[in-house]
Amino acid sequence: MTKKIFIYLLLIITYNSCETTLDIDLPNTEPKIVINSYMISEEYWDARTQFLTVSHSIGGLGAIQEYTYTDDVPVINTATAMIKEISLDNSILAEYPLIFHDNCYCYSNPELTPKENTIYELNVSAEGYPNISATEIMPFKPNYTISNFIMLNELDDTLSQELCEFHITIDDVENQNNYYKLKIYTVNTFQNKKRACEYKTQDPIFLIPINRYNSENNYYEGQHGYFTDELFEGSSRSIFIQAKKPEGDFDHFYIEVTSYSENLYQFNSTRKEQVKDANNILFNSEAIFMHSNINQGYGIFGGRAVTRKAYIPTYFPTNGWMDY
Amino acid sequence: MIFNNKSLIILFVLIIPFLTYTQNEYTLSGHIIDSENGETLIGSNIYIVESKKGTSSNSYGFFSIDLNRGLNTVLCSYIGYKADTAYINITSDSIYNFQLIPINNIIEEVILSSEESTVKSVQSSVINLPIKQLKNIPALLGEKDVLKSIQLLPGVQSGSEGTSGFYVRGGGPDQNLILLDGVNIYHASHLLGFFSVFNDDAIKNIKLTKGGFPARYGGRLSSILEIDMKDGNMKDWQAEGGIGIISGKMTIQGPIKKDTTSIIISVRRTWLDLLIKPIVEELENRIDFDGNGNYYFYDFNLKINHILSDYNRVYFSFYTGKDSFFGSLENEDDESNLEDSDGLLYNRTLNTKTEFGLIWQNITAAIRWNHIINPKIFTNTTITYSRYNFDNRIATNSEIINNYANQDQEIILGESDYLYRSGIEDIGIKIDGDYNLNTKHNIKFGLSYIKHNFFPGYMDFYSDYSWYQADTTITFSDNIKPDNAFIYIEDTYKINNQTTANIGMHYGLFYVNKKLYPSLQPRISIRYLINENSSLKLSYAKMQQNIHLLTNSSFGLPNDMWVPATDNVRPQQSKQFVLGYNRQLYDKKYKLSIEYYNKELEDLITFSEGTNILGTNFTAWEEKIETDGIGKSRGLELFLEKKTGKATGWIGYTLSKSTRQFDAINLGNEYTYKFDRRHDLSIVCSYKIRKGLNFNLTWVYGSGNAITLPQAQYLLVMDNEFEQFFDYGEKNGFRLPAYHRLDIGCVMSKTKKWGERTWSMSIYNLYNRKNPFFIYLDTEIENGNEVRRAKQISLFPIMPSIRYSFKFK
Repeated sequence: MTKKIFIYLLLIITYNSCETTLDIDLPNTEPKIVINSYMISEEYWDARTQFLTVSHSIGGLGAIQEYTYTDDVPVINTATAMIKEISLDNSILAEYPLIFHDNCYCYSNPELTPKENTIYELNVSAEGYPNISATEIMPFKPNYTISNFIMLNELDDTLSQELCEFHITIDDVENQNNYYKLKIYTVNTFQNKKRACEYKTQDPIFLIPINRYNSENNYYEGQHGYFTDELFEGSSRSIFIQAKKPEGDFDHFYIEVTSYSENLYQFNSTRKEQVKDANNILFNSEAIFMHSNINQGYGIFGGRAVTRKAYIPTYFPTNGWMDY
Repeated sequence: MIFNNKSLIILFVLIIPFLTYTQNEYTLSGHIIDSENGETLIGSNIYIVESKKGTSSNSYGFFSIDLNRGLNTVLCSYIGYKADTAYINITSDSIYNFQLIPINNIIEEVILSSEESTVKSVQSSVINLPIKQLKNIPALLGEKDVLKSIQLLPGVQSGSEGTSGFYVRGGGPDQNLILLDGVNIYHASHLLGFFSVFNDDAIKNIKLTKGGFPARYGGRLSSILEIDMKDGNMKDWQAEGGIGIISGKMTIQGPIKKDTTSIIISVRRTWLDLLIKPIVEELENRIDFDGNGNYYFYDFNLKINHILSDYNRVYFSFYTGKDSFFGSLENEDDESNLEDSDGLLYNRTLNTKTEFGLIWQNITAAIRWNHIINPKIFTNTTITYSRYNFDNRIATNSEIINNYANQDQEIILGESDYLYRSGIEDIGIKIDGDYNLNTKHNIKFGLSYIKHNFFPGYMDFYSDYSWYQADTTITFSDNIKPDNAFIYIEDTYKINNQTTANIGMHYGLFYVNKKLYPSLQPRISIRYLINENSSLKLSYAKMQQNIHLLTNSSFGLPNDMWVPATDNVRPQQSKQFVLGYNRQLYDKKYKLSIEYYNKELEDLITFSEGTNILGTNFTAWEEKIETDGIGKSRGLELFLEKKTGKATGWIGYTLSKSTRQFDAINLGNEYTYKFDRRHDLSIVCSYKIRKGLNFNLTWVYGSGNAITLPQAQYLLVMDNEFEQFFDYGEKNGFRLPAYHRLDIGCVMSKTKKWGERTWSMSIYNLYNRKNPFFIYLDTEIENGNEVRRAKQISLFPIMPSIRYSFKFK
């Protein structure tokens, strides 16, 4: 009996001593400005697809109420923001002060239309935080053609089924690392409805860590696959694509190829990993370190360029294809 | 090319003695054994009074020494035994076996010692731990543990609280070669690493080499831990055993044929089935899973030792150990008023029973043949087998009973069986030779070949349901069967009375996927005797390790994966430099050792950022790793030991720094290694109160482990919503609180008519220090606000334990 009590006591002690709240003395990191800003080559700053939001960081164990809010949105509305357009030989071509707008809770300047292959420098200051700066080189708009296109089913058939297959040939800009993403959308113009299509490709340029692909069968299947020019730097690459139509009836679809700056690609890559890792409360996987090009701050000031080609069956005289 | 020239020079130096040697002495050789049980004594000293020459016995108790013609006084000594003196008139090569008589309880006055004087031995960074000493160290739950005792030595540190994994001089857990009777043990722990697989009752000797590796060693970068099983009593049958809180063990040994053949059988089995239940329930509650989980482990050791003649002896050793975590789920679901395709109404009862199990198991076996070719040449040939596998099995039986309104009953049976398995299997042969060339040269040489079979992951799935049948095997990573071979030669060269060097060359070949990795690994150790009581040592060793362990945990998860170098993943390499000073103080009562080491590691691998160990086995491992890592480690170790008197023990202190660098980790910046421990201190003390009563104390202190915690958090707009992101600052940039703990214990032995009984009582973590096992971040609501808190899991509070041991005469 004594032995039983002894064992029981031991178990109770063990059981109750398992967990304690730890007073962690994390390094005292001062709050910094957080930038979330995207630019698109050759498109005007619409405060919707191109924008700049300014917020700040809090401590690693901070509570959500420690953020500065504008209305109920965690952004700073009193910052001073400026984007400078700089030529490749470092001379300032133009300056665009950005103004805060309540409708998007972001800073914008509609006069700014980022140019391809041009440097932009962002400077933001806000009281109580270190000033930040960031530079970005805007990528070229991707150049591609569609060939061997076969339409497999009707767009207005509501079933989810094979849509089409085609070759897309990308002409890569030489002497620089280029990062791309391919998307296909079906659109119902009258219902103002747009759906992303799933597509499949076995081209190895899609088999990179940022994409979740099937390593067993070596193909990528998804709605937004990234690829890089690592295997065709400075040359053309023809990629075979098989696309599926989502449920619903549509009147046309378009192909969207986006080229990313290296900063934005790395940021997206690490961001996806950190989001995937968000439930890792036990730290049983290695931490993800987010890429950022913001000096003295966090976030991203990233550039991309988009080229779209739509297929509208009724469109004449280009056999259904048009720039979009 | 420069390297090849160097090699040629070293080989030339090694060959010179063969060319210049002329015989002018005779050789005395033989074995040194325990007179009571016939066990061979490893590392016993032989000293010739007239010529002042000395040597020590090898791993099989064999010695060989040259004597001058005529009468020689030969002293043989070993700690814990009465010294023996033999007067030998030598006129030709002769054999003489020493049988030493043990002195009762003398070991209680001798805490830890390398049998050959540390001051005089050539090798640096070597520690022998007599198994009897192990029994005096207070232990968690009373389980004496080889690996946890090793952690108390300078330069060796533990991973997490209570676990038996060890890290030597900034190296990883995979960089320690653990040999049980010469066979590699891949997974040396039970119960997620809390207990090692070694049953101390079956062990004779433990030797740890953490630097200055002679050429005979290879295959790992950081340490070689050699554990020798007892050979078995050649004189009498003997039984001993013990009962503790979590396990019981029993060892029987004796002569099958007296002085010729002996056998030893040792078993240990835990009754953790009872003790672990609350922990399992706690884990089950956390993941909302009621599985009636249970757990046990066992170990089984067998060794047969047979003396064929004075010149031949064979051994067979076998070990198997298994961990099994198992449980079952039963479920019953009822559905009413269902309608089948013919419109008939029925009620359905679905009974399912699922049995699941996680099983991991080691099996090793070795056959060794000791052969004395002549008094100067001793050879040992070993054939080895080693296997480690991890299985995860889920078997489900289901029964669907459809009761129709018209009283008809339909019963549909189904079953499925899922098995996931990963592991490694080795078959090898090794030949070692020991050639006592003359008084200046002792040559060791040998070769080894191992055929590995890595099966890093496959799944068998069988299903037999009316609606789904399957019988398939999916291989996540292909089996890899590399060939691993090496040859070596080393010469212990007595240059003069003060200076002795061990110079050697280890040449390895690793062939995998049609790719060959050759490696030339020079080794050199030099000892300079300042005087009888102090010496300086210098050593350099280049090592190559052809296998890697994929783990990102600090405790011994059974699904840690051993993987080989492949055509994409190179073998890891190290270069280690050691400078040491050894001194004996106060009539040799104290021994002081100070060593500085600098170790550089190359071609390390690690999991990529974000890789979750729990899901790793289900993908090809090569896609989840970063390669070409660099590690740097340097440190200063101090070891002060008192060997005699009533109070004995040691103080070990290590000041060290260890870093890693991978291009794709931590943005390419060098970062602190997870198990970097800046300060590590161990105090081990034993006080003999009277005969048969010892009081023991251990205090350990270590800087906290380095971990990665978010230093800042922020929000970004993603798809029109704010998402939370973290800035981790520097990888492993945060230190857990320091680890410290005091253990005390006493050992009471008493001789009875039937033999000896021993009570061992200990208190682990006397002042109830809550040391971190791991921490995690949790979000709580406080006054309506979300508050993030770091929470620490501490495993072991103050834990008393008691163990009863017995030994029949």
